[in-house]
Amino acid sequence: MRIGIFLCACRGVISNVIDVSELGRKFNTVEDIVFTKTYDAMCAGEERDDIIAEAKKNNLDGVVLAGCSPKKFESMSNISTFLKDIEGAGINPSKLGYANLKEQIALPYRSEVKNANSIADLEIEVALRKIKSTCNVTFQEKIPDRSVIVIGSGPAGSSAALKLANQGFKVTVVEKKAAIGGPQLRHSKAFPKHDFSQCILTPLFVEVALHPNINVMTQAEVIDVSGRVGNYNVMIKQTPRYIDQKSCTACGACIKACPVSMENEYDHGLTTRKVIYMPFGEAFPRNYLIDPKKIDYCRNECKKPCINACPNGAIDLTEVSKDIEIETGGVIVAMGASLYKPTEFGYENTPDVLTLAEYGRILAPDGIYGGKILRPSDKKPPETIGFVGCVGSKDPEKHAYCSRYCCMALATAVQETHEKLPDSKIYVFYRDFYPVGKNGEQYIQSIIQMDKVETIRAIPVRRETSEGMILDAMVDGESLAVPLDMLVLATAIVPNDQTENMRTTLDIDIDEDGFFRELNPMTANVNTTDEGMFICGSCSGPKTISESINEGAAAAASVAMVLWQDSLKHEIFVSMVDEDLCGGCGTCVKTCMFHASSMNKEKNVSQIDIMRCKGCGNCVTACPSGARDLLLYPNNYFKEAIETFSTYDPAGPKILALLCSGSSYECADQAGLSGLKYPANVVSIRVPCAGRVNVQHVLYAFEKGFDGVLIGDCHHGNCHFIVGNTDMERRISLFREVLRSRRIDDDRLRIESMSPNDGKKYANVVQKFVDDLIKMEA
Amino acid sequence: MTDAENTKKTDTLTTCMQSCSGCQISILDLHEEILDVLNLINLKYAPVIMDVKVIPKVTVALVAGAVANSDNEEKLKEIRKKSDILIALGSCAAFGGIAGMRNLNTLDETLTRGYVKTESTVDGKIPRGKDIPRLLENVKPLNKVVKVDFIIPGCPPTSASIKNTIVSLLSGQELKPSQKNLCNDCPREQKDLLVPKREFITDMVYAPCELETIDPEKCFLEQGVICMGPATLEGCGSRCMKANMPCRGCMGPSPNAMEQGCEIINALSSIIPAGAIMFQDDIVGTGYRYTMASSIYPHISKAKSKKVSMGE
Repeated sequence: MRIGIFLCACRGVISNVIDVSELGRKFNTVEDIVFTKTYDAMCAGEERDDIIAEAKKNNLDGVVLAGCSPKKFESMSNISTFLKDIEGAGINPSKLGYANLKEQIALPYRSEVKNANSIADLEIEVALRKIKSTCNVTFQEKIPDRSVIVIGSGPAGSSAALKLANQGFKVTVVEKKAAIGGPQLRHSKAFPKHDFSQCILTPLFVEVALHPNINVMTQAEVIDVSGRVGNYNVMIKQTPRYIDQKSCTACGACIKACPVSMENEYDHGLTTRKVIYMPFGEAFPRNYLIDPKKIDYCRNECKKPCINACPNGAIDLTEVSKDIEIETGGVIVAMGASLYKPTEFGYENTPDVLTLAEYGRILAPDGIYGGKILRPSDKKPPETIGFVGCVGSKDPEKHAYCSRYCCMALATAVQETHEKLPDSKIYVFYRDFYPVGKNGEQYIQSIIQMDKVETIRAIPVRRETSEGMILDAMVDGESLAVPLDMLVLATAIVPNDQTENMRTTLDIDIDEDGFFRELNPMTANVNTTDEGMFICGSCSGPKTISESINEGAAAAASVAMVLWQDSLKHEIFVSMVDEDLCGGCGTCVKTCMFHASSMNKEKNVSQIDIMRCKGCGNCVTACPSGARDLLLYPNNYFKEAIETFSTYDPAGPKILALLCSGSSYECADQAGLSGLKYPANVVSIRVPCAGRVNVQHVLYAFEKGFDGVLIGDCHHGNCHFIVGNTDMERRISLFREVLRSRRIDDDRLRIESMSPNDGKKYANVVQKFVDDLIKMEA
Repeated sequence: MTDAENTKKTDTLTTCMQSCSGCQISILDLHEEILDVLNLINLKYAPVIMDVKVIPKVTVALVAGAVANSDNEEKLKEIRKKSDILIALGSCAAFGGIAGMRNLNTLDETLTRGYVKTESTVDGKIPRGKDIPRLLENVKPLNKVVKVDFIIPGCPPTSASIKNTIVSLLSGQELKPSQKNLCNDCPREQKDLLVPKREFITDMVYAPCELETIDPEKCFLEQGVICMGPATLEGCGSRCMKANMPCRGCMGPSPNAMEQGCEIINALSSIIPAGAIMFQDDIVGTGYRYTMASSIYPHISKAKSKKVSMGE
């Protein structure tokens, strides 16, 4: 091979600890290394161009970048063409190796210079081994399908759909509910214009509904996605309305006939409606439907008066749900979020304690009391109303984050309440005011300055007396008791109950709070790890309406940027099958989460659907005959990397860390970036997923003299490949029997779940592991 | 047979180290077909059937059994010097075999258990003396002591595989043993395993004796019986399966696998609940039954775990 090693001094950050020039000189004499070159800062424009030029000039077929973490290069891929340019210079992606000198060596080991230099040397050696042990990645070139599926039709989804449709893309909007438009439509006024939500948002949704390039599917859910960016196959399950949309004239005769009432979710369950219904007055599509939740009752138990009542014979209870397959180039996920259901302030058993969303249905012009503010228990106008902010948010025991929308929504509701009940006294309990968006500060100030409004910075507690409810609070060391007729709680935004479900279908990561995780919260906040899938709106974290609309536009621009290309080149970095070794046991078929493995019955060997394979390597680990291998992380690489690192000889214990690329590896990077130090007794190997951790390699590490092995995975439920950490834990729990049989202390093998931003955890975990191993040796 | 006829034949020896002699009986199990083999070889040394004291110089040596004591080690080195081709015959020679499981104990524990703590022993003593070969700390397969040219795995190897190896070797044909796992050859039918859906193929794990009936045509794993087939090389003719018993793994791991014990753990964990396996099965015993001595970590940790004591 002809390999070039490019080293970065990182303006001293690396070179103050690691002698990069010496490393360059050393590797210059190694077999297959054509040359080495050291830069002061590799990321600068000229240096980047120089790397490409050197690769071309020296006819390289392998490149090692020794400097930053590979995660940094990878997360830049949407804004930087660097990696593509290296590929363009003739370097196959599998022949591009990284040596993470900065985040995981120079920074954390800066006070152990000798050890840091030894590890840096081995780190480059391991990168070389990886290049040499991987096969070339193959490519598939395809013309992208210029159509997009948008999941969800709230402000973010509608904004994205419209911006794409206006550029000529064919857009399918998939909405789970019976009508498009998000939850905000039901509410009364919205900030910053203090205009009615329906008046602001309905035009947007009408545009989506009527646009010739947009096909709206309601009561529809995405149940399966296969393929790659530019060419996805999306399976959508659509629940029927049981009413023929063409012959129904919306006369309403069926509603009168329907004998069964149920909770009306449009009013948050504060009112009831019939089983046959219209979602709301301005709904699109403007058709009646029968609630699918009750269809079994309608079919089997009801006397079906609606069928006789309908003059057009439009009702058909025998309709069944349909699976519709759609080919599409990109997917935008804008499925929104839900609201926290409070348990505090007696919400569950007092009708006069409402959430802000429910109160919105009292305030709204089409509200449950015709737009009048009445107390639900006795239908009288309240004389004192309390509002409490941050219910469920900014509370480490519930949701630690700020829900962003609530201060402004609360201020809007306070102002509107004051407009409708000018004589009533309003108390606002808040932890912090966090004004958002244009005029946010003025908006908040205007309610603070109102005569009838008293703002109290406290976290109140509710007390029930014979007179009614009282909120107790401590303000500046003095206790305060506020009697109230009615209480409104601004509750937290929480992840939609569909998020977890869609995570497995779409394979989009979720973060610690349960929202979808963006590729980079600063530079790529609508991107995901899949180049053709984008997230926007509150499914990726609490957002205001205007932020959601902006993100929808950003997602539309991002997907258009990808799909306007004449052709897309897919890297096929999947698992491979050696047909001479595969005996057709079926383990891989059962192990694959993505249904990418199946059995070729004729040859009795397993085969891989490259459009479904995500390259996690779980099947490779599971394959008991070594017939499977993973293109970018082959078995031989791990074996060789362990052998190489085993020559490291620090004083004290030696730990091998196998770190999941999506979580723990990034976490270890973060530890370095955060300025944390931990003993230079650990060497790390990146794995694509914890599911790729083969227990053979763990045992091999112990045989090769490692005193401890640390497996870093994602938190439960956060695995990018859905079941990788589950399967790893199962394997390790059985494998512990093997360790015990060899009389290796159980505690020498540790599994730690880490999230990418929690650098402190990695540093602590390593420090404790090293300390414990020293105690064990003593 | 005349001497002239014998000179055309290849001088061969067969002997065993620590073994049950079953591998050599398997040669005899060729019955009348042994004549085809004897047409090619001139058997010069075979303690199990003939009395020759000195190890002769031969072309082919078929050595069964594992290296467990100083005598084995010495003899094996002598055989290696006196033979051109050394074939490890059977799983003990190839992988260490059943005897290798003693590597999970210290030598002292093994001797105490064998000679002192046996339930039927009264006032037992560990025999010692300079005439008694010294037991090695760990059992080893042949290739950890000398270079091995071929292996014929199996416990015992099938008579057919012994014959095929010798015949093709001596007639200059290429030896092309299959490299697939036993599932390829297994006549049993898989159903659930081939459905691409994440769910366990069984909730419970059973010992064969616990089941009233075992479906003779259905995959053992799908019936909740731990079977080593997926992690085991084919070539045995699925003898156990046909006798309605699960594979015990005597053919050893596939050539691309590092070892058998970890591979069966890797494979079973995603298809059978780990808890059920741990409850019913001794996964170490099952996974390493024949290959402990050739596993990645073929002995107990000497330094690392002073705290863990061996439960007797």
